Parts: sequence; C-alpha cells; structure tokens
Amino acid sequence: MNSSGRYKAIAVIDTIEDKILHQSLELTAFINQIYQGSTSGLLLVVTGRNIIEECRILADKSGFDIAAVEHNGFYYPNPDLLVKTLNVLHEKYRPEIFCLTNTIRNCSAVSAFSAECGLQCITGIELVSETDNGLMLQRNIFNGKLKEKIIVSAQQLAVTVNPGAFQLKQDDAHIKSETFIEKVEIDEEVSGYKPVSISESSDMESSLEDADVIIAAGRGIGKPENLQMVRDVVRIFNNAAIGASRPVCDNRWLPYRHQVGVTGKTVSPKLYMAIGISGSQQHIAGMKNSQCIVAVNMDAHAAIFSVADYIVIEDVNVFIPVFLKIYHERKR
Amino acid sequence: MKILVCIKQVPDIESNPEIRCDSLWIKEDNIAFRMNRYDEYALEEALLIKETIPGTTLDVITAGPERASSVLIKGLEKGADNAVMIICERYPLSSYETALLISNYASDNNYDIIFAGVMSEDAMQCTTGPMIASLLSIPCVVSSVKTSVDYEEKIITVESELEGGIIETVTLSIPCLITVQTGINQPRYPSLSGKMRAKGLKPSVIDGEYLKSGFNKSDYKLGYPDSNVNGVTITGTSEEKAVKLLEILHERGLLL
Ligand SMILES: Cc1cc2nc3c(=O)[nH]c(=O)nc-3n(C[C@H](O)[C@H](O)[C@H](O)COP(=O)(O)OP(=O)(O)OC[C@H]3O[C@@H](n4cnc5c(N)ncnc54)[C@H](O)[C@@H]3O)c2cc1C
Repeated sequence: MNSSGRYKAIAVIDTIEDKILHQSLELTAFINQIYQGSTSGLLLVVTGRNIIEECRILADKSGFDIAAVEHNGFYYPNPDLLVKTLNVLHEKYRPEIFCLTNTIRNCSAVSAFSAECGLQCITGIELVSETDNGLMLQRNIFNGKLKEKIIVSAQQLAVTVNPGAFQLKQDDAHIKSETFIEKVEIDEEVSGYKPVSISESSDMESSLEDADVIIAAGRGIGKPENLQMVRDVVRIFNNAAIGASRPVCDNRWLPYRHQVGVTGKTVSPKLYMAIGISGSQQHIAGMKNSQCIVAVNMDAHAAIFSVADYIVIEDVNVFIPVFLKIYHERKR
Repeated sequence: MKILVCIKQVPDIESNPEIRCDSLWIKEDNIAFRMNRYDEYALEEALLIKETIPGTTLDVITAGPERASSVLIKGLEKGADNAVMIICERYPLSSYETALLISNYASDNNYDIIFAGVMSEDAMQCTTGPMIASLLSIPCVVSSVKTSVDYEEKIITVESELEGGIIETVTLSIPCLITVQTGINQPRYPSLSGKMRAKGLKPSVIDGEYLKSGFNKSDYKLGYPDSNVNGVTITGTSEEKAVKLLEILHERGLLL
C-alpha cells in the first residue's frame, strides 16, 4: 500500500441521532496494529446533523484529527450519503485504507464505494498479522468453520472490522496537543434513498436482561416440539429464561424478544447454556460476556466451543433428556 | 412490474468442510448444495409481490458453475417466470465479479426491483447486493424485514434492521435494490403444479467467462480455525457427562 496524501488511514466513527457510538473507536486500535504502533496518519470521520460539538469533545479526548460531516440526512445511519462522503475523502486524500465498524449498513457503504472507485473491499476482519508476503487480514467464512486469510496486494483498501476484535488500550491514545477539525461538505443531491425514522423493534420486552441463567435454543434442536425439553431445562434453575438464536425466531418457534446476538439482545448472565447453536459471530457477539458458558453441540468443531467454558459434544435429543432425568433422580 | 432475484448456490455443510489442495475452496466430493437461506427469503418476498401486483414478471439469476442451475430450477418451481444462468466454471467468484456479471445482465433489462439475500452463508461478506446497486447506480437498502410497494407512486417503503434490535424505515424510488434478512416471511415449498410447470422451462444461459480471470480478486487462502478452545471438554458416556455437568452447575449454586 502507499499513499502520498496527508492521511494514510481514514476511520469512520459511527453515530446515531448525533451521538457517537464509542465502540467504533476500536478502529483506532485496528489501525494501530496495521501501522505497527503508529496512528499518526489517521483521520477520523464523524457524521451527523449537528455534530461539531461532539467532534470537539472527541478530538480533545482522543487526540485525533477529525473530519466532521454535517448533513440533515446523517441524523440516522445513511450508507447512501456515507458513500458520497467516502468519495470526497478519497479524492482529497487518497488514503491507503478506509476502515469502518462491521455493521450491516457499513458493509453496504464500503461495498458500494469500493465498486464505484475500484478499491479492494474486505468485510468482517477479525485478525491482522504481518507475514513474509505482506499484511494478512483474516475473516470468518462458513459460520466460523473456516477462515479466509487475505494477503493485501491492492494499493487501496476499504474494509469493515468486527466489533470487539481489536481492543482499545489506554496507551493507544495518541495525544497531540493540537487537533484539527475540518468540515466536509456533501452535495445536496437528490437521492432515491430516504431514511424516514428509526424505532426500537416492537416486542423487545423480555426477561432475558434480568435472568441469572439463560438456556438458549438453536436450529440444532430440530423442531419446535423440542422447545419443551429446553423449557424443562429452564425450570431446574433459579431465575432462568429461554433464549434463542435467530433461526429459531425466524421460524416463529419463539418470538424475537428471545433472540440473542447483534440484531437481538446482548446478555451477560451467570450461566449461558447454548443448546444446538453453531456459534456464528453474530450470535457470539450477544453472549460472549456471560460469566459461564456451557455449549451442547454434536459437531466437535462447532465455533460455539471457542467461547465455551464447558463443552459437551452430544446430540441434544439424546443428552438433554438424560441430563433432565438424572437431575430429577438426584433431586429425589 | 419487473423483478429480478439474485440467488447463490451454497454448500450445505453440517460437519467440517475439507479445504482443497490449492487452498482456494473446499473439496466438493460428498457435499450437497442448496439455495442460500437469505436468498430463499428474498425470493419469497418477490413471489409475494408478484401475487399482489398483477402483471408482475419475476426472473431469477445466478452466477457460478453449471451445478448452480439447481437453485434456478427451484426458483422456477416456486413460481419464477424466467431463469438466467451465468456460467463461470472458475470458482469461487469474488463478490465484485458476481456483481459485475449480474449488473451487466440487469442493465439491459429494466428491472423495477432487484432482490438479493443480505449475505451468503459461505462467504459471509454482505457485499454483492450493494455492489450490484452501485454498478447500476440505483438506490439500495440492506437487511429488509418488511417491504411495502406503492407501484402507483413508484415508492417502496422498507423496514431495515440495524444492530441492537433497531429498525430504520427508509423509502426508495423505483428502480432499486433490496437485500432481505431472514424472518421477513415464511418461504414456501414448491407446489406440485409448480414442479410440473418448471419441467417445461429451461434457464437461459450466458457465458460468464468474458470476465478476465483474477479481476479484483485478492490473494487469499482458506484455513482451519486455530483450535483455541480454552474450555473443558466434558467426557464419558451421555450419563457420565450429564452427572459431571450437573455437579459443576450445582457447585456454582445455579441449580434449584
Ligand atoms: C446481519 C445479520 C444479523 C444476524 N443477527 C443474528 C443474531 O442477532 N443472533 C443470531 O443468533 N444470529 C444472527 N444472524 C444469523 C447468524 O449468522 C447464524 O445464521 C445463526 O446464528 C445460526 O443459528 P444456529 O446456530 O441456531 O443455527 P445453525 O448455524 O444452523 O447451527 C445449528 C447447530 O446445531 C448443531 N446441531 C444440529 N443438530 C444437532 C443435534 N441433534 N444435537 C446437537 N447439535 C446439533 C449443528 O452442529 C450446528 O452447530 C445474523 C445474520 C446476519 C446476516
């Protein structure tokens, strides 16, 4: 990679309703690793309707230069306008790398932008390493069953980085005495894409947040009738609730308020027991901070085992009935 | 109304896939293939629109090796009118290559709506749909969990799902591209009459080899995950495992 411009790397900090989502500052840790401990060529981009004040606070706190992009259309996440913004910054700075947090909106923006400008596009990066052949970026494929390892050869990259993959360390802060805030203008062009409103999806009330124990069912339970055995497991614990992976809710076996993961609930109970869940990155994001994780899966290579404290390689339809039977026998 | 649905054929992987010796793809022997689940929902959404707006034609398209035409047949059986197979034996294609092939076809065919799944289950990139839209210069919304079409006004209202259970409502002008999230509908099974009807239909074939090989394709290798298992594997018979697990849970004071 090479660039002659003032900034080598551009990181987009996510906002919603003019509030900065601080998790996206992890991108600075990603850049830090790519440039082996240096973030001096990094520009942060912050979008919003009235975002300048937030940018000042962020610049003071983080010590990074910031491009503030104000537009009414940026009150809500707006990949359409974001593509235009990335185009402007690309023209101006020709950085080596554009990085965004791996969200579904940001994937949309980087793919459209890279297709337009001919950049190499890589989404969902979870690991960076230096190899003899150059920089290697790693991502999950097949729900974590395999990894794709990409050697960067392109001059310019547009990427998304998994939340949580690169941890912000205190000494990553790169304090400059004077930071630079520039305002970037985006054309008031008419676009066929109009955000109208945002809302919490209805039906999100559930007891998952307050439960000490969550017993979560995945597609591996096979059929909705088998939820009964999962409910029977819930009953043997104090203050327990039933959780689910997305397909269980998609199939209408349980309402969406039971769904755990990036598009569902984030939970951290004392015990999370995953029954027939493969452990996709989207699911793990919602439960990895549980104090104790037990996973039951008949596939010895299931990705869920990488976060589990206790691993049970079993067919759930065999194991769970045995588990319940022994519990009740011992109870008597 | 003219609708195109982009469909990918993916390996149906239950246990662990084996990597091919060039490290670019998996070994295909003994592997079954099926329609990408997200695309099943995209196709269903298109079929539902076809049922409500008379005169709608619905085409399905895929780019890939010849074996991928099975997902087009499935699409025809479910009710699509036409199927387009872009044959590219070189596999796997990058999402940019797929997007180029599909957008090249679509640009000559004036579709009002193009549907795609939000992601493919094998490559997991969430990029092909938005790239097609970008190459065609049409608006795109990702992760739809509800689509309502106002054909008179040529406006589509989409409820698009963000992380954390937040829904963003977006309007799009026609033509546009929508990527579909699972759960938006309940994909149908092909009916018997659908299967009979599909017997008389054949996908039209386009040779996709005109794309230069390696175009925007990065230097990559597939690998197995490091077995970074830090947890304790509970061993024994089912009964022994159950006893051990119950003891652990009991010690933690979690059981009633
Ligand atoms: C934008 C986006 C957002 C998403 N958000 C979420 C989210 O918030 N939450 C979420 O969960 N998913 C989410 N997903 C979906 C996610 O990618 C996975 O598809 C999903 O988590 C898989 O659910 P699962 O593990 O239940 O099913 P599968 O991946 O099908 O896994 C089933 C597992 O059960 C095992 N199994 C099968 N039969 C048995 C048996 N008899 N005994 C024991 N084990 C068995 C199998 O070995 C397998 O590991 C999202 C996807 C996208 C694209």
